[in-house]
Amino acid sequence: MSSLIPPAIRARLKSLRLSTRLTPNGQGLGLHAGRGRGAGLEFAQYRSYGQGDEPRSIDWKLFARSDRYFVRDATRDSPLSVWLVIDCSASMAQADPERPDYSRLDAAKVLAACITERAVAQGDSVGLITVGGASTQGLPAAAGARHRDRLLLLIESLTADGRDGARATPPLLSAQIAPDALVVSISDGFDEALTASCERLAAARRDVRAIRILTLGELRFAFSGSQRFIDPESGRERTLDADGARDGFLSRFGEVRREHLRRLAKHGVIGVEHPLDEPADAPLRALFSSRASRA
Amino acid sequence: MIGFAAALGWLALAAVIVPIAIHLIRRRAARDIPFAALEWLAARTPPRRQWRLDEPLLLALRLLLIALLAALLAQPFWRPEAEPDAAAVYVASGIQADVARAAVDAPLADWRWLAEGYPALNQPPPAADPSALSSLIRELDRALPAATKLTLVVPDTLAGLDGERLRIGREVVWKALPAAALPEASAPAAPPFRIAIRAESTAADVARALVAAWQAAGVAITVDDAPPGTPIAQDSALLIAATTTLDAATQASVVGGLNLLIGDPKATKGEVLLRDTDSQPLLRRQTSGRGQIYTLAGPLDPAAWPALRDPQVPLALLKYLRPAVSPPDRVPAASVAPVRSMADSEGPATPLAPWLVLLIALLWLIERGLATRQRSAAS
Repeated sequence: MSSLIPPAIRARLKSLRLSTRLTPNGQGLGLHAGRGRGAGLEFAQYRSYGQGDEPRSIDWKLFARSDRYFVRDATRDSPLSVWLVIDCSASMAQADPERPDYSRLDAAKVLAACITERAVAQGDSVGLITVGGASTQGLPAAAGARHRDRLLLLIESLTADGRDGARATPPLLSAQIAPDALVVSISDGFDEALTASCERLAAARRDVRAIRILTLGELRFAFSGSQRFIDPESGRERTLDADGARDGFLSRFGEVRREHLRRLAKHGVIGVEHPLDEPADAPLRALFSSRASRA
Repeated sequence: MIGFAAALGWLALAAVIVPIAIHLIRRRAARDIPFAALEWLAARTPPRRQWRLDEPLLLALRLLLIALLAALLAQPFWRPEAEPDAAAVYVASGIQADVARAAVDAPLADWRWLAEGYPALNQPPPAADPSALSSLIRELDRALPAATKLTLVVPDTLAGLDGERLRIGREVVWKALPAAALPEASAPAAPPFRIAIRAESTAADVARALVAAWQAAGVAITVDDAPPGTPIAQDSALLIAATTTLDAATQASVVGGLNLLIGDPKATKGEVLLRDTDSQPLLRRQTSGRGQIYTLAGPLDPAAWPALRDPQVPLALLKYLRPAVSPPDRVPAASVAPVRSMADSEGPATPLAPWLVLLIALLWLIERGLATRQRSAAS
């Protein structure tokens, strides 16, 4: 049991079902309609009996009608492989002054833990890879409770330490993540390279979903008086009157957020925003509701 | 009614600029906020020059503290409102109570004895102490409220007054009555001047000659002339000895108050009281316990020290050697009625400083609590 997920969210998590728009092609038994044919409940096709087929799989009723041997194929339910891509740049350490102990990275950890729990419960395999941090960390996708515990330990130990000039080389995500996988990117959306990677992955037959974590300061800009704002990644600072800057910032940044979502949608990436005061299951529900999956 | 004993202390109010300056300077002008979306923050809204004061409650508390400290420096006191028609009659002990009541027509007044503790007049008269009268009246003047009309009933002859004329800060009715039982006239009879002579041959002759010269000048002297080593009577005032080395008993007597006259040519210590015409020291004085040691600058031998032959010397010595006699101090009461002093007396006042200090300590604790409390992250 991981301590990352608050009990209230864990209770609601039971009804969350991770799904993909693609047809996974994994080995073994899973919950997702796969591309493989074999033993299963869902009828897929008839094909003619050939060498190697078991005689008991011949559809005898069809033989009676057509006087030819046909074998009844079913779609095999396949497991899904879920990949978590977590942004570990320094901007993820940003928290709101109202709640200084709950940074973006903390929210990302809760989200990642939720997805891990659900995926393992569904029998799917989960992998993790960090981008934007001082070092690239990760675990290959695998299933099972022991792998889940390893993964949760790794998630808990993540730190947002990627500053400008002290950043690991971005990993080649398409080399790590096999096709047909479900990729959930959790970031603050300021990392242009990550957004571009998501778009490339989506173009290369991965189901990519992006969660953009926003602080309340970015959403509402409830600062007042003279404040010094410091960019955690570059260290640049700007001292200004927060009251005077509020309207301009909110309109400009709102446009940036909308543009970000538009751009993701254009490349087939489902994106949601996750304000820090929202419960962690809300963005997951928005991502994996049936309507979002159909989109 | 609150008054201030040192109103200049209010000048300390100028210190209120200190907390105001602290709040202006240490205002948390620019707090550091990590903000990744810095790119979209317009740089065209420079920080305003604000004269807003942070933490108004804390500032108000600090201003109040300064004001209270200034008030403390001004030494506040509380003086109860006096009843305008209050009257008090104080009767000096020695006058009978009913005589005083008959002499002063003030039936509603507060009648008391003018004595230590000011007992009421219907209590038995306290013992008379003439020398305490002046200080009792001065104390009374301070202790009574300013508006109280004071009547003092005193014997028509006063004794024991001190050198300062009585000055009090209020109009006073000074009523002199014949004393019922005047204290026994203790005319300042000079105590007999007892001189012990413990010397031999020439020195003893010199001592006797000195005593004879003083007696010729009219001083009553009792002489105890005995060889050295004879014990000295307790009430002797002066011992004339020839030797410079004293036995233990004599030293103890000197420490106990006996004056000693010796001749010692080698003496160098002590305050020089007399000089001869050549400005050479003639008489020195050293204090030893309660007694004095008077040292002549030569031996008690006119052959060896001719200065002794000077006819002026005995009387000059007498001036220092004879114990002081207090002058007579009888005076008719009417001539020493208290005069009005420059400053009006204002009556008793309770200093408020202890309460003020308590209040300041309490406020200071609150101020510390406010100043060091965990600031909420939002503020």
